[in-house]
Amino acid sequence: MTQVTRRKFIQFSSAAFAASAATGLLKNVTRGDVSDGVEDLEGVEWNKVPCRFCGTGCSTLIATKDGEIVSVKGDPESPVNKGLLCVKGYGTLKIQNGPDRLTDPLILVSKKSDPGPPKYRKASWDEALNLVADKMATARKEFGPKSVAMFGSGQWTIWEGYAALKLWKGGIQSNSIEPNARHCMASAVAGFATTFGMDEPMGCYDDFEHANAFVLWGSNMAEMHPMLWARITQRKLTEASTKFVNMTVYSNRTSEMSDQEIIFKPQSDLAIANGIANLIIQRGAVNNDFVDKHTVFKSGKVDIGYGLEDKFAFSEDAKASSLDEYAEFVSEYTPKSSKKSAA
Amino acid sequence: MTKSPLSPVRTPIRTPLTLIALALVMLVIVACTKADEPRHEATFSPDPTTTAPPPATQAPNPTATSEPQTGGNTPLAPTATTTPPTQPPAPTTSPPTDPTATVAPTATPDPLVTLELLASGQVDPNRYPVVAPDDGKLLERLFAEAPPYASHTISDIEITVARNRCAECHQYGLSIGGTIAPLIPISHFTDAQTLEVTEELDPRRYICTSCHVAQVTDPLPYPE
Amino acid sequence: MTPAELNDLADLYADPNIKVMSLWTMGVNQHTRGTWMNNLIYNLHLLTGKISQPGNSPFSLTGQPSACGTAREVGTFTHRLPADMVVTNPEHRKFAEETWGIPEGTIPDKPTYHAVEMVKAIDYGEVKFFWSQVSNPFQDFANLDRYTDAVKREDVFVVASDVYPTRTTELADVVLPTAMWAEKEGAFGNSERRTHFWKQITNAPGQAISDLWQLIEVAKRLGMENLFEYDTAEYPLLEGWNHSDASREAGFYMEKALFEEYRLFGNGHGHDLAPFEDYHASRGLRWPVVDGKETQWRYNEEYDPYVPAGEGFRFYGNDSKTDGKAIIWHRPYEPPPEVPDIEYPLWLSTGRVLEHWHSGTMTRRVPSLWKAYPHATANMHPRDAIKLDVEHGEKIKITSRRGSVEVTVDINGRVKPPQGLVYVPWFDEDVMINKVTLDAYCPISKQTDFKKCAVKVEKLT
Repeated sequence: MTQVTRRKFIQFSSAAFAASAATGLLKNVTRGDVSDGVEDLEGVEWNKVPCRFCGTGCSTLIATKDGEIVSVKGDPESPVNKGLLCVKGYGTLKIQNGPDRLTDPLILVSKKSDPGPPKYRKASWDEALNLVADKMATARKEFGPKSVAMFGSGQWTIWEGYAALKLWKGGIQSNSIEPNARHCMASAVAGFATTFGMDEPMGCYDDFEHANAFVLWGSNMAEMHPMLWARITQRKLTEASTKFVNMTVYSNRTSEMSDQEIIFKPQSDLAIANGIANLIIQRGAVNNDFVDKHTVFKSGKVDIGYGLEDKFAFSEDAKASSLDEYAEFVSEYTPKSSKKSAA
Repeated sequence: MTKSPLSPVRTPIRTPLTLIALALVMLVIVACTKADEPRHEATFSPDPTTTAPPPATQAPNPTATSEPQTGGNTPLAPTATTTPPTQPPAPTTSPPTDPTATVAPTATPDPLVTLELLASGQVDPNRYPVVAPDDGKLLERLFAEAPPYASHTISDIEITVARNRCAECHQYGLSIGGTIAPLIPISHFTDAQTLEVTEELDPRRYICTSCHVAQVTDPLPYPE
Repeated sequence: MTPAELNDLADLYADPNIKVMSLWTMGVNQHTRGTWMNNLIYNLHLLTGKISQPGNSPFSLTGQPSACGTAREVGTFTHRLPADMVVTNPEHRKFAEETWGIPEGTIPDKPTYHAVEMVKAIDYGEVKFFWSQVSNPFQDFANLDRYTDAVKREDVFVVASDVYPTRTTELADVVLPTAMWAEKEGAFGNSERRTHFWKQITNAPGQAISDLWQLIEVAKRLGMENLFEYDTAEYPLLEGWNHSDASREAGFYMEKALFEEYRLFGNGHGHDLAPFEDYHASRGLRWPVVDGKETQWRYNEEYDPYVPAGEGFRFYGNDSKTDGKAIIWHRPYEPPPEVPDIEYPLWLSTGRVLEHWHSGTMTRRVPSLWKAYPHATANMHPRDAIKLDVEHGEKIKITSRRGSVEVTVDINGRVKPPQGLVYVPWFDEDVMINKVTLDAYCPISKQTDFKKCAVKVEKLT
């Protein structure tokens, strides 16, 4: 709450009372009045900083005073979040301040196989980096470049990832570099590559304001992409005809705003998707013009395994197909059979 | 299990203008009563009593080789507590009260629920956030401009197209157990594009729980 | 799911007047047939032509802030180079070698290990050095015990660059204190292809320095400083700009030099990025940015400058494969590798919660986020709890064929599973649920399926 001085209070309240009968009151009140106190900070510098957390990519405004972060708010100029933030976004104020922040390079002095907690000694950067480089060079010499591995991140900045890539592939000559994004988006990438030959969505967040129906496939947006969730919520509340379906394995917060919650058995989303395709074809709802001009059909290898064995390898075996063959392929995914695997 | 498809009818949180005016007045009164309190200073070293306990990770603890390491799972920072706080932190401000403020009468919300009413069995406890003793006090925010915390359990609180249970109290400053629900500020009634203040809650702000969380440390109490 | 529900869904996709947006993240991606699932959702939009237009959008949501901007677009994968290029293509390698000013033939032409294989390779002895940055692998890999055991071997050297002690730093030979987020100049790329920059506004504590500086310093010690030598005149330090450690050390604007070089890979190939300054000046721009204009809907002539006039739509990523057409794949149902049986009768699914990010190393140190959700709980159906004679708030042991973990039961949690399924989020380093999960992955994408395995639950007496 802002510090409203006595004088300001009297001014405001009489305005409030005086205008309460008039419809014009609220239009005269600007955002600066009776704010949350965000505008009142003095002597701070505001800068835009993308949020540290999820893939929504909200922009935040961070206030610093003498180089210390003192406040965070949603960036009103960001088309992504338009001034809103979720609880983690606000929490970024304090993520740097944990009491056990690492501040010195540390070198292990105990053995990793020793029982109990590991023991370290502080070292200078020079010593630590010399050791790191030495170990890399030794491993590379004795076991080959591929024995030198880097596990990076989808939270690396762009130039950090680029520098690591360059060092590994152009310097050490090792392809043993992988991001934790392998756990996160690899299937999406492979989906894009196999369907479109190029990565990344063709649409953008503006789709939220244009779509009439939202179908979520196993995605708990309420908790995982809260600011995009806010945009769907806005659509749902302002357009009565907007439909929203939450397809999920377990009931979650996302279900609470949905028109329909569909619980399915794990893995049966494969059957459901094929079932919908079958119904589209059966109903004659295929956009033949688009399909003819812009798509081709292919079938791939089946029974492809699960990667459980060490050194598991996979190679695709694609064969050309057609709409008719595809229609036949999905025809076994009837509502009844899909129900069997899904229910 | 499937929810039966709800027809997406929005129940607008519509408030007559007089109510808005009264709400604004109350807001200002509330703000005023805090006018003399020192502004909350954002701190950067978490107060040891409110700190998140450093997790049980083996924090790299620089020691000389000859020193024996004591016990397992000792947190690094010597000032931090090793057990999680079991109570919400003691509030530094007392709940705003103003004897001259009136509770705005409304038709929509359900009867005010007090602990006595709950105990009497006359109301369904699953319909209302349970306010236990010591709850309902204003909690110190993460920093001055951060979204305030829910001082009561919000487990299962209903925020659906049909109903926003949070707003039913917080839009009118209704009272439960003697504490007035802090009002939703004007920022939540502001259109993002035009910056004009609107009558209705900004629909993007509808999901209160995206920003406002409770501060409880155990699995949330299950309504009996 | 009922037939009626399937029909309802088909209604939405089939009706040409309904603009439908499909959204997905980990439920579809962390799946032993994740690639197939992605293909299948695209199939629905391709069959109906509901794609690349406002509102008609199969939208793959991204989990991390820069999985797109960094990992995918820069190509930090075993088989990749920037801008969708691959190491297996000699043309692509040549382009990279020329751009990087290194001899032809430097870049190895065979991928080595994807993430899961990388830690398996530690176990079977082929990986001897492992450096983790901005990640917590020894909390986040499935079937964790196998890999935490492997990495403890004496002949494996582990380096962890991180900001806080984690389950990974406690297995490291060297721990490097790292600057985070606003303590360095940075750039992310989000789900909608929006690249966005920030400048350094605060300093890292103690001796903590950025990952970038660490990488360049190691490169120098390996005699590979040439990779990070740029023309000072072309990328001078700016007056009054709060330059990072890496730039000040180098004497030129390192981030700009790297970025401008990286741009060369994508420009002209549909991955165009704007000049460096544009991202500091704006709230981000969606690539391809051509002549200063960002692209909202790709593959659509109306919005995408890469689609030739008169074609309407063109999926130009497939130009050489199918003459610009998208591929509709036959992808059948295949069962998961491990399903509940008599001995392990429940499904286990894992995920996150609103308040915590990933392994919780940052968010659990924010007092209010910690208090909002301090420990992971096992969300379970009340009837399952009754069958197990377990009450809300009691501790249970969840066991799979791989490992076990102790956790508190919550039968009135945010997640309300159906009978036969238990849900445990993975943010809690005291509830290492990945000891229980299965490291099965999609054979095409190599992405682990964290959402399905079979467990048994026992009451802890």
